[in-house]
Amino acid sequence: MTAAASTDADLIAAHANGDPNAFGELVRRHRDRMWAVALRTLRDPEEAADALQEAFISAFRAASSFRAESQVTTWLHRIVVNACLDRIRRRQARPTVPLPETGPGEPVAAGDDMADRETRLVVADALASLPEEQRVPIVLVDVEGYSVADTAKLLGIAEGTVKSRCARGRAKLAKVLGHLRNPSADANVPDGTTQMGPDGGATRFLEGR
Amino acid sequence: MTGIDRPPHSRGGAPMGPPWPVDVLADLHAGVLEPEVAQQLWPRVRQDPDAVAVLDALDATRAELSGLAAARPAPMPAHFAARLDAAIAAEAAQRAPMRVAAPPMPIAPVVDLARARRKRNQRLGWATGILVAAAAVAVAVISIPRGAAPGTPSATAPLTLHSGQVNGVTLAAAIGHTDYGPFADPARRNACLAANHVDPSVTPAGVMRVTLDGTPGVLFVLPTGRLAEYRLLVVGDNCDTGNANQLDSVTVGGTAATPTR
Repeated sequence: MTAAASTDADLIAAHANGDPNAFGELVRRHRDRMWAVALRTLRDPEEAADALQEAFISAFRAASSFRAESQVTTWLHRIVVNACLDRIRRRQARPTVPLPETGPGEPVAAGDDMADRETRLVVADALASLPEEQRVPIVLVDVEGYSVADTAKLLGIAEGTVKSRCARGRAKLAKVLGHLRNPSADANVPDGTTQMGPDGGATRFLEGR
Repeated sequence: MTGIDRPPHSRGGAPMGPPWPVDVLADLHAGVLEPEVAQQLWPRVRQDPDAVAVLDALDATRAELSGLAAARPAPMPAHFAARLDAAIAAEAAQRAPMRVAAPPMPIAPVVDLARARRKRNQRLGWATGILVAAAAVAVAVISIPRGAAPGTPSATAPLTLHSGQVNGVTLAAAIGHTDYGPFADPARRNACLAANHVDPSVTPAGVMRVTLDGTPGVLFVLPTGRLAEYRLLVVGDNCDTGNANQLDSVTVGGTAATPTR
């Protein structure tokens, strides 16, 4: 039942029916893509690996509740994102632990066109340099393609706050990536290192789900 | 921006003419502004080439961000992947007994030892199957002599290890094997495990003959009782009552590997 030709939905069904190998095949199919999502969201490789492990174990246990009308990748993606956001929430609950301000950039697969690889490395580095409260909404909306409404629900914040944080983050990225060339315009972009929130600063990044 | 070049503002605080601050344009671009304010701003902004250039820059930024998800992802590092595979295998092994015991039993069954062994071997086989990919990773990291068949729960040539290689990758290679070597005799095995402060009633998730830095021994993969966590105990062939002969002991899975000596 774990033949390469099986669809993801077939594998989930086989797993729910007791096939001991089906879930492992599913993990192998999606591991690298989900690893990129976790690393992009959390920046720290150890944390990303732990979050991914938690997510796949959750998915393993919840597979029987998977509904065929949704895509397996969408379902898995949501579980991984939630596992990452849970980790960020736990991190915020420990105020004595400083948040990492910089982290390793997102790895880029070998074999792609060199210019494309370089561009993606630069973009990934720029994204990693954003403060967390701006980086995570941008990852969800601009990179992963979640709607503003879904992102607001995932983060437990208002839709307007998602838009505002995305706006600030994009302006900084446009500057860092060299798309903003007008010096007078450039002067209006907040510095990339600022930790001030777009709402005035002291608001929490994530609320409870 | 200075007070001198500050543009005229609407009653809501948004500027109504150039030069347009980037943060206002970014808000407009992201749909942050009230609809009636945005409705007033868009026609004016589109007439200003500098503002249009900023909006184009924001569009270009979004396009590059979306390109990150579209790109082929880099592989998860092998040591993290092995840890993940081991955790999934442990989860599958935990679930397996429920599956095997599924047929309804009208009365409490008398345990048939041969049947119980078959169940256990089946469980180990399943875990092994799930770990085929992880074992393939192990081949790249650990030197396995010709003839050894990773993933096969039977006697094979010893696994060759060096200091520092007793880790999650080793777990992936050894789990499911039942090659007890000099400890095939249960009394001898129990004596050795007791000498290493291991409860002999704990059934190893894998046993494999190894050579560690050239010293022959046996690797025991011992469940710790915590989810997806195992103790990898390597003992020399002379391990017995009063002689622990411990060559290495590492706890892996769940979190990063930690020595347990």
